[in-house]
Amino acid sequence: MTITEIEPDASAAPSAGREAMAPAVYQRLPKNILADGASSGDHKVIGRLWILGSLLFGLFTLVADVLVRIERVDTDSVAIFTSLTTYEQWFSMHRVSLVFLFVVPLLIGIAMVMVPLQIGAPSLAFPRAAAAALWSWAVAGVIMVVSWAIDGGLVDRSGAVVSQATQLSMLALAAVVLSLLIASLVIITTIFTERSKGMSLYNVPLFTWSMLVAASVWLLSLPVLFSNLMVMWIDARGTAAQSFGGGRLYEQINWVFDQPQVFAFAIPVLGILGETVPVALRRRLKNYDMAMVSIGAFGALSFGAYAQTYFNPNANTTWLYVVGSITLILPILAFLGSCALTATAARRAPVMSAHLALSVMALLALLTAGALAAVRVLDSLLAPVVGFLNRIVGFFQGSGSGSGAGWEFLSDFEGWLGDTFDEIAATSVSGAMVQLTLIAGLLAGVAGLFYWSSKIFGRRLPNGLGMLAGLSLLGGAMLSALPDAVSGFLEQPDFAKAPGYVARDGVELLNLISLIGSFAVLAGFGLVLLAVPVAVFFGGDDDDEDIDNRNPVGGHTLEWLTESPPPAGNFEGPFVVTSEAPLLDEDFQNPYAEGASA
Amino acid sequence: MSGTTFSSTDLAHAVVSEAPAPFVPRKRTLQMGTAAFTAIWVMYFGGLFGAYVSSRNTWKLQQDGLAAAGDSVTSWIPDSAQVELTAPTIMTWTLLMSCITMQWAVYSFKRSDRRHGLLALATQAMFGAAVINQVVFQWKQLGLVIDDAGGSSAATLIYTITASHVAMIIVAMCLLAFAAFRALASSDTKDHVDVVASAATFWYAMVGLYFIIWILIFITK
Repeated sequence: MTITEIEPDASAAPSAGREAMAPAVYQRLPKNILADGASSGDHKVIGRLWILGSLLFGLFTLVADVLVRIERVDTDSVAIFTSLTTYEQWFSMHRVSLVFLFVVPLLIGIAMVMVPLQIGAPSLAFPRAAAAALWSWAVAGVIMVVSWAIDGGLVDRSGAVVSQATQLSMLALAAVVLSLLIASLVIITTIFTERSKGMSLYNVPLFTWSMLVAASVWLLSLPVLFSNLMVMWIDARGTAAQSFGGGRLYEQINWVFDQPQVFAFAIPVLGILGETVPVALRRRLKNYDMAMVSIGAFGALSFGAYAQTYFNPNANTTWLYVVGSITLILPILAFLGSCALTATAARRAPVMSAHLALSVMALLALLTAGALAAVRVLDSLLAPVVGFLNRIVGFFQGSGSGSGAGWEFLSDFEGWLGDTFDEIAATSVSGAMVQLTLIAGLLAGVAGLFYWSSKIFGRRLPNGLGMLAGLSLLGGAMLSALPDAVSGFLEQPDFAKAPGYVARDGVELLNLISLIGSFAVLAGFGLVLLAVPVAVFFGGDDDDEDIDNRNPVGGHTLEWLTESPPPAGNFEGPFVVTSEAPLLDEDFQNPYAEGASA
Repeated sequence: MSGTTFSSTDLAHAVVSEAPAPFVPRKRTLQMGTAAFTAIWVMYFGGLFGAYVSSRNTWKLQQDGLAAAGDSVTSWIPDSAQVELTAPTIMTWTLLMSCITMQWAVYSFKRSDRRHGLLALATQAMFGAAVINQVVFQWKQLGLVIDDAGGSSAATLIYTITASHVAMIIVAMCLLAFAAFRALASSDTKDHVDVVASAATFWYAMVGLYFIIWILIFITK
């Protein structure tokens, strides 16, 4: 099979396939999204509600983040929260909600809307299961927040017995995780079984591919978190807190918020970049196979259910963990190479847009996080190498008998490397990495919202606000995370103010910079929250006749064929797809083309 | 024959309206969904088994250290607990037998044999209920207490693992009930072989997981 690419006109962007499309206008969204959504099995309605819910929880999460960072500025006292335990509960809560109530649901929501459209399907595989997952997630999320408000949370130093509020937090988090698992199952099944004719897994769009990889990693790793929670909860049912209770609850699930698992929540960053870059360059992505392999490899390396330091204190010194952490950055670079090759081949400047800028910013944040992950374990890799060198020196010192002790400075250096790893293992270096990774996921989600806004919201979101929001989010993420990284290398704990905590000189200043960054993230997110209602409720119809409202960005994949927002059933199809960018294929039979029979 | 006459048009209409709708083969959606659902359970138990093995090893290392120092040691499963092998072994055999009846159900559905299919599913449900009954008996017999302060975490983990497996049996029985309902409602059970095949996939995984529980907790203790 040969694929014929149509080189689009640089000025007009739309391809020959799209020029012949019948005119379309934006459709209004249903007036009452909540009332309609409560009984709907339409994937677009369900997806929009996931997005809405995640944005609301996101606001709460980022406010909590600011409060925690305000508390950290003064290392001598607990000023905002009533006690050290309350502070620790809020600290753990903002981590948990950042992942499970904000970033992951946002990406799932976008996938619920876009995956069926991208693969040419009329709906999700199990729409009722998707709706059930949505509502159980929302209810469990609210219960989780309420449980924190009544002195619950995943830290309980009140005594031997785990309080009922803490037990409620565990159960609520378990229900949230279960809901996300069902949502992941729906996405995976949809991609495997609902693809349009001719679309193999080798030519699904990259966002869909990244969601398949991400949902698979979540499906395989989050049940382990669920099992941790069940063990903790059953342990808490007893009258005395055992090995799995008390103040050590968060420690048992900390692996979810540490490398490599935390990177699994940012896999769609690569998928969204793989959508926006070729569209901005108006040509196919070069080395598409390599891009897919990169996303797959990144997903495989981010599987972290084995790295539970609570159950296996030496997990972070195993070769799998060390090599995995160091090589995690390689698939990102390989993916970047694919984008760079495309840019070189295009020989023209990309069409700048908010979604392109946001997806590039997401990649920058992810790269920085990947670099931090590698640096964090690099010394543990170097220590045995130095030890091996020293043994060789010892071998020659002993004239072949192997009895020499080697050079003393090498022994000291080896010891220092090993000590350094142990010392920074549980420091705020991990906090910095988590912050950057999850903000990368957030940026990718926001990029997706801007890129597919006409399909998701029925309106195009303002580009200017998107750029501004991106700059604020990325700048804020860097400002809040990098000082934490420095603190971490100064051996400051991630759980600042943990019992026995001793602040070093200069840490308060670093914490202050981190707080400013956190405010910037909140401000950037506020701009995103502003952009959506402005566009949806006050945005007018786009009267520019040069822009096809079905495909305002000049996309190459199936979702851009249908109306904005798509009607029930999505397409007038069916299609036969022969490549990853069907709208660029000369032989693609477009059912929307003038004169085509539906 | 009555004297009523039918025109060719009437007859054609009658045939069209009374004939059952042609069966459209479904995509493998249900099998795929069940495979993913089964993977969730397998990984869930993987997490529990990992915690069990890790905690047991840590405990034994601690006890070895105490023994080396001349202090008194306690076993992973407290001596006060009564861990009999009889009930778990019977459960294992019960579940292994249920694999045969499960395959009998799939075979019957494939051959449009509704009577045997439903009989196989009913037998299957009986096996499931029998295993749940034995687990409850075993819990009463065990005498393990979670609140054994200062002791091992064996009680917590054993109860979590066995209770999770009971939950899995209940889910598997719900899937069987769903398959039976579909079979009762259909004109040809062959149309719903994917439902019973999906239920079978989940059931086999459940049996395999119990086999691991049997070895991990009750054989190796």
